[in-house]
Amino acid sequence: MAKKVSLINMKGGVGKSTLAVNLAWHFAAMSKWIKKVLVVDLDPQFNASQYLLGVTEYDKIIKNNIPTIWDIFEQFTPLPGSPVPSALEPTKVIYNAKKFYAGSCIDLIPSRLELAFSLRNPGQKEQLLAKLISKIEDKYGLIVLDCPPTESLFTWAAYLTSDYILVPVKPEYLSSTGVSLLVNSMEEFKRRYEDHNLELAGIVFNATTEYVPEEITSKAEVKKIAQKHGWYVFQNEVSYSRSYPKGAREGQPIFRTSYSHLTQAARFSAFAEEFAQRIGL
Amino acid sequence: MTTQRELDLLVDLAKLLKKHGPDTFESLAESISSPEMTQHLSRVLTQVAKIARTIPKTKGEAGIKQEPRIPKSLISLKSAEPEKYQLLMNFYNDLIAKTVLPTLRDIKEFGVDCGLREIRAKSRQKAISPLISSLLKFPNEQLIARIQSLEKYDTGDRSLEGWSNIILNRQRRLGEKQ
Repeated sequence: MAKKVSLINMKGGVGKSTLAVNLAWHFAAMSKWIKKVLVVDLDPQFNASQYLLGVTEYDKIIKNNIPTIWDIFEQFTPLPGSPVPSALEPTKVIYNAKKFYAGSCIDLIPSRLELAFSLRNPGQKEQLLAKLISKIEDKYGLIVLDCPPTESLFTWAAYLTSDYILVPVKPEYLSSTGVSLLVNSMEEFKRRYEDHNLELAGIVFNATTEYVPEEITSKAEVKKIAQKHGWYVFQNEVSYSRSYPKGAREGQPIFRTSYSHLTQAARFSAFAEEFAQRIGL
Repeated sequence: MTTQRELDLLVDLAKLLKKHGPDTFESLAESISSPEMTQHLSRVLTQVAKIARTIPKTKGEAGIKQEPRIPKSLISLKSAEPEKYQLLMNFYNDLIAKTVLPTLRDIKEFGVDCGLREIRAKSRQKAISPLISSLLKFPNEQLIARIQSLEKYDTGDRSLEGWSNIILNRQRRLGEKQ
C-alpha cells in the first residue's frame, strides 16, 4: 500500500511543487528506491503538471479533453442533456509522465485552471479524491499530493487522502506564519474526522541560504513553536539553488539539471532519505 | 545606411590598423578602388575558397567533435540480425543525440542494471561504444524491453510562450462562453 503524503503550507511561493516533483523523481529514479510514484496536482495553478509534462504533453491533455483532477471533483455533477453521471474510472485520469528503465515511473493526475471553479460549489466533493485513490493506491509505493496554498475543499480532500503532511517552510516571516495556520486547519479536520489517521510528517526548511539574519531568526522561531507543539523539524534542509528553477524549465530533477552542483543534489538526497525514514517508506 | 555586418567588418578592420599602419590601409584602399583590381581580387578569393573546400579535414582539427566509433561487431550484425542491428543503431543514435542516458553516470548505472561488466570510461563519449558492444550479447526480446523502458530526455516545448498560449486561449474561450 502506498504512503500518501500531502505537501501543504498556507503560504504560496515556499516551493511546494518543486519539492513535490523532486521527491517523486528521487524515489522513482534513484536505483536504491525504484518506487512507482503518483503525483496528484491539486493546485489550479498546475505547476507540478507544468514541471512534469511540458507544454506539448499538457496541451494534448487539454485539447483532447483527457480527464484531470477537475473531473474527479465534478464526476457526479449532472450536466444538462448528458446521461446520468457515473463514477470516474481511475485509470482514465492517471497520465504517465515519466518511465524509468528499472520499471519505475512517475504518473500524474494533472490539474487545470478550471479546478478553481469546483470551489464555487464545494458541497460533498471532499471525499471523492480519497475514494478514487483507494482504488489504485496498491499500484504505487508513494503518492505525493501537491496542494494549493489556501484552505479550501482541496485541502480537506488532501487530508482525507493522505497519511502524512509535509510542510515546506521558507525561512522568512510570512512563510513561517503559514505553519500555524496549517496546524489550525489540521486540528479542525481531526475534530471532524476523528477516525482518520493523519500525521504531520514534519516541517522542512526550503530554499535556505544560511547567511541572512532574517532566515536565522525565522528558523529559530519556527523551531521554538515546533518544539512547543511536538512537531518534527527535519534536520536536513533543502538549500537554495538556482538549479531548482532551472530544473523546472528543463523538466529535470535537481540531480539531472544541467550544471547543477553535486552538493545541492546531495543535500536534497539527504533530506529525501530522512523523509523516507520518517514516513517508513 | 550601414548594416550591422558592415559595422562588424569595420570594427575588425580598425583592430588591424595598429598591426599594419594607416599608410598601408590608405594605399590598399586606393588600389582596390579600381574595377580591374576588384575583379582580380574576386577571382583570387574564389579560387582560394574552392581549394579550401577540397582539402580533407584532419582528425585533430580544432572545434570538430569526433563521434564515438560504431563498434565493428554491431556493423557486422547488419545482414545477420537486421532487427537487432536496427534496434541498437537507433539506441546508438539516441545516445549520440543525448536523448537517452544523458550523463556518464546514467550510462554506468544502466550498465550495472543490465548486469554488464563495469564500464570504466572516463567520459560519456567514450562510454557509448563499450555499452553498445556489451549489449550485443542480449537476446532481442530482453534488449527491446531494456531499451524501450528507458526514459527519453526529449523534454519538448517548455517555453513560457507555450504556457501563456495555453492559459490565455483557455481564458478567452471561457470568456466567449459567458
